[in-house]
Amino acid sequence: MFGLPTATVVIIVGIPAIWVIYTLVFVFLSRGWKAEDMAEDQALARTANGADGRDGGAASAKGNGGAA
Amino acid sequence: MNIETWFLVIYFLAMAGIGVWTLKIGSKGSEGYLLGGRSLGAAVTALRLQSSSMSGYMFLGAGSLAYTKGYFSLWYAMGDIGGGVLNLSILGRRMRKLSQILGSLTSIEYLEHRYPSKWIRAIAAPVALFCIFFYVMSQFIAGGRGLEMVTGIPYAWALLIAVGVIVFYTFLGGYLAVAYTDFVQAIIMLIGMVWILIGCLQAVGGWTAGNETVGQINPNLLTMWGPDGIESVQWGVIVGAVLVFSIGYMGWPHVNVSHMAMKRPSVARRASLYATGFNLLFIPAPYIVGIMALILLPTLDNPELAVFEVADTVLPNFAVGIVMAGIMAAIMSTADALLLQSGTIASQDLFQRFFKKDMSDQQSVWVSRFTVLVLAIIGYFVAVNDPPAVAEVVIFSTTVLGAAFVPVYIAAAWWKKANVPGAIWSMIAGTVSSVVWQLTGLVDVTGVDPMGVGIVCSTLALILVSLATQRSHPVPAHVLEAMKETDKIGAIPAHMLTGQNDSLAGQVPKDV
Amino acid sequence: MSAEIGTGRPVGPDLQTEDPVRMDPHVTAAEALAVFQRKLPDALAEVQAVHHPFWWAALDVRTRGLFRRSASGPVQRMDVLVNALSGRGMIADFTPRGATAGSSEWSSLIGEQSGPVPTRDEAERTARSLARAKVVKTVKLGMGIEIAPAGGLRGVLKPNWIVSGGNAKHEATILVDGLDGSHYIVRVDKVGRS
Repeated sequence: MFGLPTATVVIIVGIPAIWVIYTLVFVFLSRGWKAEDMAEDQALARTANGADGRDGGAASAKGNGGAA
Repeated sequence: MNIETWFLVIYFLAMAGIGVWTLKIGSKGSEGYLLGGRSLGAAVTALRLQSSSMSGYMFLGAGSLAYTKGYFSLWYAMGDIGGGVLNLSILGRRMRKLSQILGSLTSIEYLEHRYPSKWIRAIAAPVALFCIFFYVMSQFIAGGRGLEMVTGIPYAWALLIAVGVIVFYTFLGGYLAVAYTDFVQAIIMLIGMVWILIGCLQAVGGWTAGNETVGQINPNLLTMWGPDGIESVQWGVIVGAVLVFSIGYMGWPHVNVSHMAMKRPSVARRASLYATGFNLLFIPAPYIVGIMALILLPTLDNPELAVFEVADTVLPNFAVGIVMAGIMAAIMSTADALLLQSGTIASQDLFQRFFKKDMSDQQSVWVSRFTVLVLAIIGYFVAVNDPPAVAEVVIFSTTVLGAAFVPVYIAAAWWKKANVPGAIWSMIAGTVSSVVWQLTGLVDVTGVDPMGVGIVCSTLALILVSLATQRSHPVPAHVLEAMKETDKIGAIPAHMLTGQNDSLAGQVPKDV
Repeated sequence: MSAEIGTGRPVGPDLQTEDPVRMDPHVTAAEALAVFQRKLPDALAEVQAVHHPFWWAALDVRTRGLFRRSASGPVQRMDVLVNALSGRGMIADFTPRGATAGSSEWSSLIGEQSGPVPTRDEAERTARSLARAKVVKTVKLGMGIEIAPAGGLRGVLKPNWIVSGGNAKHEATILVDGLDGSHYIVRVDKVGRS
């Protein structure tokens, strides 16, 4: 096929096909991750009301090694 | 000046204009940057993952491998196609979440937080800087070669102009610092490459006819076993070729940082679809163009120019201008993003962390600028005097990064027993073994790829040293807790983000 | 409302502040108790309001292009809080507001600390370096950064809750952040041991 030896065709079609299947299986198996989005949205909504400085504050305090 | 050059000049000016313009609106939006942080969507995450690592190699390295080795070179593509999805599925969600809990902002800082020791950064940052420099150099060469071909100026001058423009963009602050231009760049690369592929296949009378003609040159070029046939095939090299761009990707600190910038941990899902889709369309194209160049340009002096020369041969003049300009922009923006990255590593991860903690604003920026300039100058002189083959440089630096970092990044997210000594020895073993294997020529003697050797060494070092030192160097409780939280699907509870960490501990009243 | 009474030594003039801001908690006592009970189910506990002293530096951050001498573009305000006892800084994404507290309350909180506390200068330096670290990470290389203090350093009394109590198995004391409800476990003991 395509003027190529069969082994070449099998490899250059087969391996990408494996990756496509891997991708689809990954997307399928990780469908539960949407729950995390919703949970994060809710957490975000809560903190937005609370006007806290948690995320940025804690992260930067650590990122800076506390500075003093 | 020919029409292609005009296109190129217009393109550069337009890009510089966009740069100045985004500099203006960029400062307006910086509050979002400062406090919004982790905000990238799936398409941007996926294509940025690809474009921040591919352009120079794809346009020069891939074509040259294909021109010299035929379909054998597609082993690299076979691994590469899966690189994005592998990285996103294994590291994506966990790295995003863990880095948020640990409060890390750069991927090297993330390693230091996960394995809390200054030695982690002291080893990781120089290795990363060194390898990224090599990658930048390959972009320089690609930019110089492209400019040389389009304009006809001698290589030394073309390279000087290319490096100058790259450094100029980097100093300008680059429209590239904005992530979504990486996205635009990926699309430009894809369109340009597909355009060249289509033109090329038309010129040889279709894929089948092209393959048949190549087969008349040397039938072994059509096999996956190399130009010398199956008798002399080196299986170790093939395994390495598949591994280098699939697993090796997980060791690129500047690629992994895009996981940390995802808007949601689950962005990794949709991003994996985009990544695989993009890779399927894009990655095989330069290899096939390189193979067909054997027919179109049988007497090419420098195989690295295969893709560029084919574009010049098969496309109409105006199209050459557009495509080449787009490709050059892609190459330059990758170089500029990588240079910026090395500047950040030098000033933040090395200089400020170890030498001068209370560096002022100006000093920090000047350290970055100085680093960029020094790297550009060294890069120029190496690239102009004795330009190494782009494919070799890129494969070598990916190999070293992969061997040094893949086990520590994977274990960081997945293995609760991975501890500081394990990580340190893993990075050392991976770096040393892959460099030594390559430099001493053991590859040819044994037929085993340095990538395989390096990964095996660093993985073994990580496992053995971690297990042996569990008692003396246990993984700290807050890291374990963060990893347990990462195992779960769900929002990060408020107390994980700060509670058990130091920030509230300093607020406990004296008498409690 | 605040429970701490100054017992420490007098503080030097450098560490005093005129009108510290006493913030009100966003998290109620009942919510703080709920945080505790999530950790220790069915626990009975007592909630006590405390305040912690912070230096508050309001900084104006300006970025400018490589080829421009003067700063341009909008000014960005950053509020940095520096722990007045430990010297640790954090960037707040809120502007501290609240009633003005007496300077004696501030001094007594600072005076409680037996070890050295950061000086005003140190606190200001910490705040600036933290703001700079944050900006440099996101700003483009060609830009210059100018950080100017907007007004002097002020004192902020940040609310927290100390919750102590226990259930049949454990006794614990935790500190609950009065602004975001995150917590820190100060002590946990098994009931029955001493």
